[in-house]
Amino acid sequence: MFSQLNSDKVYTPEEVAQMLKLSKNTVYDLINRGELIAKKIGKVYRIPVSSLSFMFTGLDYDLYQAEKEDIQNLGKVQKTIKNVRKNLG
Amino acid sequence: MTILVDSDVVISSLLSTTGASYLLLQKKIINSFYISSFSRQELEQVCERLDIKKDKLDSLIQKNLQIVKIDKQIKDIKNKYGKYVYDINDAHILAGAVFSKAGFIVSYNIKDYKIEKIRNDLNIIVFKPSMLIQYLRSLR
Repeated sequence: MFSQLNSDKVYTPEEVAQMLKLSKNTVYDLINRGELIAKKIGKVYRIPVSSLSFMFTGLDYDLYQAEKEDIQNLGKVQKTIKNVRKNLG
Repeated sequence: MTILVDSDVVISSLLSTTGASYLLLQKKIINSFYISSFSRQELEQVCERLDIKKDKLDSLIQKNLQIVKIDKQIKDIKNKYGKYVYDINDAHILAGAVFSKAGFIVSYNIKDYKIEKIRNDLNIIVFKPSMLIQYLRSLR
């Protein structure tokens, strides 16, 4: 699901509550405790996709991106390793 | 903390400077990364087939990886460690982990390892690079 989110978009606490199947109050608690990083603009909060990364993937956003980078090459890498391993030793 | 590195992670770290494998191996987050002597042999052949300069591999090994020598025939390794993998040709990675006394294997090839059995019998945890970095961050 995380990969389907638009990385340029920001979300309201209500939208995040719906996505994570939490109550709105829980989302505000998470923001107040610093577990969910949000930006306060005037009287409202907005939450970037990068703040949601860990909750969906178990990874910080930079690590999620870094893993995606590796995965781009992984097909050919693993295929080559499999072929070499067949004749190893 | 001793970590055995599978070849897909080593090669990935040579192909991209922004990937998780590079962050883990080249940034030298910790000092005890191992590969086996069989993996060394395998990596040289993989680099050749993927047109990766041997110098890059040699430099990475020299700076950041230690090699554990396995004095056994590959068929003996397959007999002993084949029960821990779905593809018998991956058995030497398990042997490398045992010989280096690793607590972790870092690999992208997780689906080919019997991770529950490996954890229960050998007390070794199999992680993807990003998950291992996340784990290391949690220890700070």
